[in-house]
Amino acid sequence: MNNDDSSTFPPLSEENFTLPKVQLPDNIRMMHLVDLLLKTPQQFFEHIRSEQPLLHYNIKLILLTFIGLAIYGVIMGSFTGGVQWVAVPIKIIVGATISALLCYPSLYILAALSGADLRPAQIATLLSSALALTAILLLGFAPIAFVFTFSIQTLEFMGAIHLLLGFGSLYFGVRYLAQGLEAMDSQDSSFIKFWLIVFIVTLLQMSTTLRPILGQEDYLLTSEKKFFLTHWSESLEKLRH
Amino acid sequence: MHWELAIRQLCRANAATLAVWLDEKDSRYLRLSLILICVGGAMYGAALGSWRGGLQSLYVAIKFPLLLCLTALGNALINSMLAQLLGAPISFRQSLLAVLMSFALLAVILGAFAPVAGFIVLHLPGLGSRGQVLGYDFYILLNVALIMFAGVIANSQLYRLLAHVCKSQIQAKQILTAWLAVNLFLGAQISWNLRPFFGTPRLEVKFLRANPFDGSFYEAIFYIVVNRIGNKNHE
Repeated sequence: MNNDDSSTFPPLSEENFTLPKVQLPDNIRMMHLVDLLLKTPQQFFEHIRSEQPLLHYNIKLILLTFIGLAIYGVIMGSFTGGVQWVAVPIKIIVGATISALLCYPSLYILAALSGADLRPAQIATLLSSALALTAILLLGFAPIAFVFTFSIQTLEFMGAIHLLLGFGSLYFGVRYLAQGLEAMDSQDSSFIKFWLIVFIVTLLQMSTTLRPILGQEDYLLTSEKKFFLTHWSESLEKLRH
Repeated sequence: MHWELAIRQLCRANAATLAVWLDEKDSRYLRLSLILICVGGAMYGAALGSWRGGLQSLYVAIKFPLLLCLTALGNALINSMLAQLLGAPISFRQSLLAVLMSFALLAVILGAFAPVAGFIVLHLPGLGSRGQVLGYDFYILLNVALIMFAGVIANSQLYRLLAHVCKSQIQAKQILTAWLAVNLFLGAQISWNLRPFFGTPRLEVKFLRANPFDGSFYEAIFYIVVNRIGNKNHE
């Protein structure tokens, strides 16, 4: 056997792993968690990395995600009003949750392919914290979305604004995820970039599946199958006429 | 070994760790690789067949792992001979296990993408709908891209393992190229025999086409090329 193994992963060194060793409490407060995600994510990565129980954190992160998405959903629903005030937040929460569950197995495998040595529970915490960060940022964008909601007349333009704000938030969420994986021995960021494409396509398809999210139809949900590109081209066609 | 740890080890492809798999004398890693091929392959097969409905989904869930297993087992002998011919210190059992490990990784990657692929495929314009052509084209493109991605990763990890086991990187490249060539050669023919996988829209759903052993993949390619050239000459 060849002992000169250049393909093995290097051990953690001072250079690639210099996280502050701060013990996080088991029963963390919600605002502390928000602070942690925004200001010192490295501490949270260290906590995930250490083999401590993560269930308590996961529950709070999921709750945080649901609160952020629900509030942003209410703002989205206000564009149409009526039953959409309630329907849109529920659809956004359900859509984001199902999308995350659908993409979770591929994230786990791609993280392992990139060299990160993480158990499924650790990857789940990393994903839920990235989603929580995205939801917190959406909450920050909510006032901007609110202003546009009362100015924009066309459904398609309102959709474009929400896409822009959504992608802006998601960018930071995925950046956080990539940083987390890097802190946990990931050697190749191209895998996470590939996963991002998969996740965005899933989210876009989910928004079409759960339509109408913006605007009003006779139904709350439809069983009609439609590919998101077809849906978009039809919407643009309507706009042109 | 716990299956989750095994999947992680396969994906991380630490050559020294995987070399321990090869050195293990009992058959547990062979069994584990076969189980991963069956489970991952079946999950992806179900997603792949879902565009044509539940029955095709079930058929492809059976046929996809079968294709991988038959290709690995059919080439086991020649793969081992080629490795020894090219000077690698690899036994018959080790070469079979190395190929199965690479196929297991392919199946695990495809299986991990099965939920997303199934979700997308289920929402593509279906058979008989207005956007059928777009739906079918995207369906083919999506699955070819996924299989290519998984194939490239699985082979690059196999190369890492071979580079660790062999005396030189050149030797590892030669063995990988030889294995790839024979695996593709046989794999293409078996996939032809076991067709349909994607399910041509104008043909009905069946487990196998009528007379699946009449003709070959290579004859079909030959006649397609000859017909194209003939048509061009007529024009």
